[in-house]
Amino acid sequence: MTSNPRGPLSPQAEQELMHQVLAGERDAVRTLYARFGPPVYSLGLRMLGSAESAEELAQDVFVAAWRQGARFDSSRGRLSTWLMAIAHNLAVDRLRHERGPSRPVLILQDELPEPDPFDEEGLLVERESARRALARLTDADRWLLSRAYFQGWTAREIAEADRIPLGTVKTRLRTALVKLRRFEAERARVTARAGGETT
Amino acid sequence: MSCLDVRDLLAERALDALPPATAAEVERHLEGCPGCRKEAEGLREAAAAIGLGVPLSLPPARLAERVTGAVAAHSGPSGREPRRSTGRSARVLVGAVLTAALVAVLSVGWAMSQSATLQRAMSQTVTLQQRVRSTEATNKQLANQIASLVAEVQGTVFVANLAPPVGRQGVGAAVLIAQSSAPGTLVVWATLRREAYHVMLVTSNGRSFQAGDLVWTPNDDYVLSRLQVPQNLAKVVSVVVFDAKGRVALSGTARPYAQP
Ligand SMILES: [Zn+2]
Repeated sequence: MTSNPRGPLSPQAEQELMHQVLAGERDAVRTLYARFGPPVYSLGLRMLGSAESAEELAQDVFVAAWRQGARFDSSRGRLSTWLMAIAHNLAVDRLRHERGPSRPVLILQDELPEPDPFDEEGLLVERESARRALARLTDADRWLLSRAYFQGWTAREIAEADRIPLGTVKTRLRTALVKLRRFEAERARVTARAGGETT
Repeated sequence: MSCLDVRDLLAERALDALPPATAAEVERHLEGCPGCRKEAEGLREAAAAIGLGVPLSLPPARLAERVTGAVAAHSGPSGREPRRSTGRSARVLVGAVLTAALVAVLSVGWAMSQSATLQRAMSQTVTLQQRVRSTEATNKQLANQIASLVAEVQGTVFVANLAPPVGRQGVGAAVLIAQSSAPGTLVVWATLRREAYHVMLVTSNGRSFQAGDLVWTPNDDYVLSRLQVPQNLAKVVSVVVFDAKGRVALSGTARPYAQP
């Protein structure tokens, strides 16, 4: 078990942290926020475009994490995945709510970021591994995933914008995501998680 | 929806790109299909990587308080009354505690006839003696041993390995026996500092309830309590042991118990 607050938590430590959050322990909520507040806020900023919305999103995400905490199961996946899924889901809801049923007219030249060359203070190991995996995707795959993930476009919306068949978009989305998962898994094998054995 | 249909939609699900009605159908399938669930989790992890790859912007310092405040407001005033500590810590070898726990389990009168199981369990404690630090394997083994000793109590058995927060001492196990009509039975074993403890159970729909106080055994080294709980224990997902100050001392996830 590591005492480094930025290092990876073992699955057991993640589960235990969520037990404490569930129990309403303030220190546990602070720990959870210290670890995942910045990536959640940054995602909000990226998707919703304003500091105010990003703050609101962060608040909603951590309240939702407390509410749904009993559903987190560390033997099924990482805490970062679980929290980012909550964050993304809530952000997409906001985007769709704001723009209504019509799809956006503007196509932003918006791509998944390349990893920066410098190291950041407080970089999560998960972030590092995510960024390396992303860097291995082709530009086309990144662009496709970017519109689905950051702009909340459905496969149909992408198909209409790009004038390609819906089936093709679905297949490409899946292929790109499977590639990303494989790149991550390859990296995970190299940097095996501390205490990572699960039952 | 068949597995094939669902697998086709899992990438879009991971990207939150499914229409709500389809998404709900997929979730229903995932509830009952571990295979598809595993696939779904992998794709969700890949999607999360996209979000985690966003360059970090530092949130304003006030956001930390805003977030903890919001969670506190939802979870209610911190609730639990601090209880007075009875002092005196006991640090003992895991092996010795295991042996004592098993003897105590017998003396409480469960499954007196299971002496073969007990013999087997006690011989295992010798090897466990080597591992003074709590490990998941140790906990699980103990939980399994206790579960085998309560095998005669009717109902569905769940076990939870209880572990302390990072940097704190202690180890334990809980056995939950769920019955559809009668009250459930909860057995908690733990080695901890000698203080007052109480147990909270959290259900899958996020509700929590107090199960009762832990009782120290006269020979000091551990708690072993059998609690009757009116609620249906089959819905319990987490077992949390609180200390006298209302902090988490041990916690664990309840899982269906399978005979080894
Ligand atoms: Zn399936």
